Amino acid sequence: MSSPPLADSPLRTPPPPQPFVAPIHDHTQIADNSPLLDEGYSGDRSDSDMAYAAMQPSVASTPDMDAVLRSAMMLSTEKRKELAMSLVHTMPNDCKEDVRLLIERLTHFDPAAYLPTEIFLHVFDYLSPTDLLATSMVSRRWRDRSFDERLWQLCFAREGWELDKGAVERFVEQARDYGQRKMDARLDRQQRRDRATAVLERRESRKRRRVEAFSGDLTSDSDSAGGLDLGIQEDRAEGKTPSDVEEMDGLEQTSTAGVDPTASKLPVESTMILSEVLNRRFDPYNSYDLNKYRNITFPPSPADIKLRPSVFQTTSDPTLLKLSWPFIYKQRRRLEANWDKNRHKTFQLPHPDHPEEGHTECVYTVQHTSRYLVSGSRDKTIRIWNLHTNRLRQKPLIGHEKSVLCLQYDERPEQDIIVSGGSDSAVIVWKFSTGEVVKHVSEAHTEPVLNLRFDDRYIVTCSKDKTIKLWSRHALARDSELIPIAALANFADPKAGLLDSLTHLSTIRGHGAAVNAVQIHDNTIVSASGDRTVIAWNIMTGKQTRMFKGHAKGIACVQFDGRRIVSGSSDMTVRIFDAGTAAEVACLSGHANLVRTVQARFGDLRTTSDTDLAAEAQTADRNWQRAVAAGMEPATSRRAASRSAGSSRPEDMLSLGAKVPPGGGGSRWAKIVSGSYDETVIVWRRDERDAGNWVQKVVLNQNDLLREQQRRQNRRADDAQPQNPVFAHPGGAPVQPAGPAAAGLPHASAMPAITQQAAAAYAQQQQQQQAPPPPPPQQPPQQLGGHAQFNPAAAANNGRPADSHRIFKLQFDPRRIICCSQNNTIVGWDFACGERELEWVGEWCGETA
Amino acid sequence: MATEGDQLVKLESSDHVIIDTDRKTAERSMLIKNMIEDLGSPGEEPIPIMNVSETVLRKVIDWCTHHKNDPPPSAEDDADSRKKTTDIEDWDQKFMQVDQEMLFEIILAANYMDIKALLDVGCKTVANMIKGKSPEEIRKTFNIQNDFTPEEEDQIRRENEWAEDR
Repeated sequence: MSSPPLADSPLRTPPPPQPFVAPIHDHTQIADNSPLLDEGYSGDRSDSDMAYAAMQPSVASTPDMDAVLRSAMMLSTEKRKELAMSLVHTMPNDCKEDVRLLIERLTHFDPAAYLPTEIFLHVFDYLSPTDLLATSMVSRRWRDRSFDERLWQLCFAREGWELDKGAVERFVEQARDYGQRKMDARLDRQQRRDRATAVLERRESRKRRRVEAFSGDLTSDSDSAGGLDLGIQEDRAEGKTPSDVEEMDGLEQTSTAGVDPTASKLPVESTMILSEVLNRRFDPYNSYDLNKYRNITFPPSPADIKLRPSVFQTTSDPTLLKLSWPFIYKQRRRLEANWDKNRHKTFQLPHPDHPEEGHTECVYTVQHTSRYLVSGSRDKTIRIWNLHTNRLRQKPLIGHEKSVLCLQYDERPEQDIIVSGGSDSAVIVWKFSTGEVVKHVSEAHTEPVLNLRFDDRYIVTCSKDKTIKLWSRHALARDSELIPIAALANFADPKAGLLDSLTHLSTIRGHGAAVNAVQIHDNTIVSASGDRTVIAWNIMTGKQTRMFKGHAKGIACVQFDGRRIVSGSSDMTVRIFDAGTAAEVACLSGHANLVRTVQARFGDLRTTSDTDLAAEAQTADRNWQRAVAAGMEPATSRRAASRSAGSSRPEDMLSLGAKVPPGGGGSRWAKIVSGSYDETVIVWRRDERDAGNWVQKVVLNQNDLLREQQRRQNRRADDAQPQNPVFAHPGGAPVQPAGPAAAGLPHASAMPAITQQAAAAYAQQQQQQQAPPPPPPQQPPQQLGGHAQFNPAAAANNGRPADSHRIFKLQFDPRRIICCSQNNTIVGWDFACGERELEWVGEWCGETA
Repeated sequence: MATEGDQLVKLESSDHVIIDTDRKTAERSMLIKNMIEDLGSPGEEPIPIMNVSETVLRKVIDWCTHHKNDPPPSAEDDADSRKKTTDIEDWDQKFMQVDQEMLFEIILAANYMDIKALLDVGCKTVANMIKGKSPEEIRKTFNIQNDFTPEEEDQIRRENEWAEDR
């Protein structure tokens, strides 16, 4: 707070000196009159003059100041410095302070003023988002610079986040259409307005009334903390036509037909900033009802500063309409904050008001994108859900003769595909858009198809029959370089035509038990098996390139992002392996039963090079070696005793020489989400203090939610008995608070005991079987025969809800975790928490691995 | 044996002072490099560096002399999504210990003369003067007037709350 208070000086003018007693001169006069040699700071003169004046205590005959200065200027720089310093010494302290301020001003410069914007922004390239926000509070000029689009695009990319181009384009396109319609309508009105010349006065007064009434309405709850802010600037009377306001209440379509009540004298151009029209009220996923806008916070006037980022970059050209990066970054970050604070809303499929749309038996597999979810069930069907409405999109897809165990889909029009595998050993390719069967391979394997993955080139399936099979995704030339070398001979008939899509190219054998899960990445297939190993295979040669050992029991699920392999096992752990060296770099314990499904997003694939990551690993190795040299007992020697979750602390390290650091590395937002037969979902995050260590951030439990739903259904059934169906629960809000916070619900207290029981029963079963593979999921009735307390049918009696909700499959994206379980209902946790901006950004961000 | 890099190059500052240097040093500046290439050889005439004063030009040549044997930057340095480090090597750090006017003048000169590495070092130096500071500390560092009203400041502070750490 060293700067003196500014009374009236405009920006960039140095402040006038603090008032002090200057008995001889009025300093403003001096400033005007004295022709001082100066370095270009007009305001400084008064300071030096006053300093000069103050140094002469009430001398009657004041020497001519100009003359003194002139002589001083003849001295050398060195001498002048001496003179100045001795002068300063003679002054009282408050004058010294003024001199100090002057010197400050002469030696410190505002880079935002000194440097061209482009170069100044180059400085900002080196700043973190936190620093950028600090700069946004420095001054108006700095604030203006700090909203630079490219800067925040960079910040976004550096966090390891990615936009889904398709989703963004859809949004922008909708916005463009909407904006175009609005602007056309406005232009239209303007033209009619120009023709209508009469009764301007009357209209003006009416317009004013409207605006006042409207803004009063909105500002009344403008302070609501959870309010939506869209970067909507307040209607400034001179900048906007009130027709904007009118459109918001939904009257536009009807009112424009007659006499235009909202005439304005403004030239139409001044109101035609497309991005502004949109920033103020575009919402493609909701109807334009007034209620939607009641919560919008308007910044108090006069707000000529840009208070918050708006959705769209400023433009009047529809073809240049773009989302604004400061907005995207901010909302994406806020979405992450909800994960950190475990703020979410739950939802379920089917929609509670439409239970008839749901699967009729348990759901084994789900995959979702921002708009859709596709599920496969023991009821033999595949269902496609609209995640905006939580409703079934179309009739269930029927084709499998037994349970649907696995599927993957790609909704993009150029792909338009679902591939599914089932207990019937069949693989079916469907059209996503229509649900029709494109290909049906009925004996793809000799036993159930447990998992499958496809990319642009291949479909890979794995089976209980211990094999992995490679299929062509598209039609191929018989000598295509995509065909594995060993298989080329099989297709070498030059007379025959192209190989069809879904041609069986090769079979990979090597696992000693069922292959439960498979992944494909570049030229590598990674498979996880009941034989307790994960194996990486070279697609071209079909040969094993690496084996990953560590799990003590069969492995149920695996994920491979090119750098690390994450696997979940019947040994109740999730382990992370370095894909390059097969070293185990983390072991996450926390589940009380088989880990059936896992997804990891380390978030560093584009932000950290392999070299950087390896360097990080080497640092950890060196620390370990140093610690051992200092007498530490290495963790690797007591492997069996305890497994760490990947701590970077030397005493916890599991392996040396890995190419990824302990814990596998990853960004600040890295997440692993695992689902288990213990009926919980665990969200793992890297420890802030010990980056190599994964900690349980959140444990989500679907039971409360499912029980609540069960109770509702029971109640509904009861209600339906005596009278006509009356839904006591108004629709639209499929939301019940879930998770730890909802522990007050009935039955919730019984949960831990049941889980323990389940775990015990499960462990017992494992012992009896003495077989490494996890129980094959495809035949639940047999598998569950041993413990009747899991039987949903039995449990549902006596109004008691089903208690067994073993999780089969989950997937998370930036916004949601969705999982399916032994229950027929699919459950999701939405971290956008009902906030529109967060839902948007959740849609736009397409990060997977 | 005199090589092409040892050829004498005369540079003329904005205040018309001629400074001699060698070609290799001078060609750290893409501006000069392109000029020499256009001419075919450095020639007798001094190359005018119109926007740079003698003091600044001498400083810039000091830097170029020290860095004249640096390898050309690799493509990876420009990968935008990689985190940018603000680490500055020791010699450059000392070199950049100048008053703010000189610092900004060096940056402007590096920009004008198209010496990317020097521009980067200069911008990093300024960035390091900003990093980790509060708005008030930044204002102090560069003697910037706070031209927000207290209400505006308060609004902005509240708006920025989304970035507060967990």
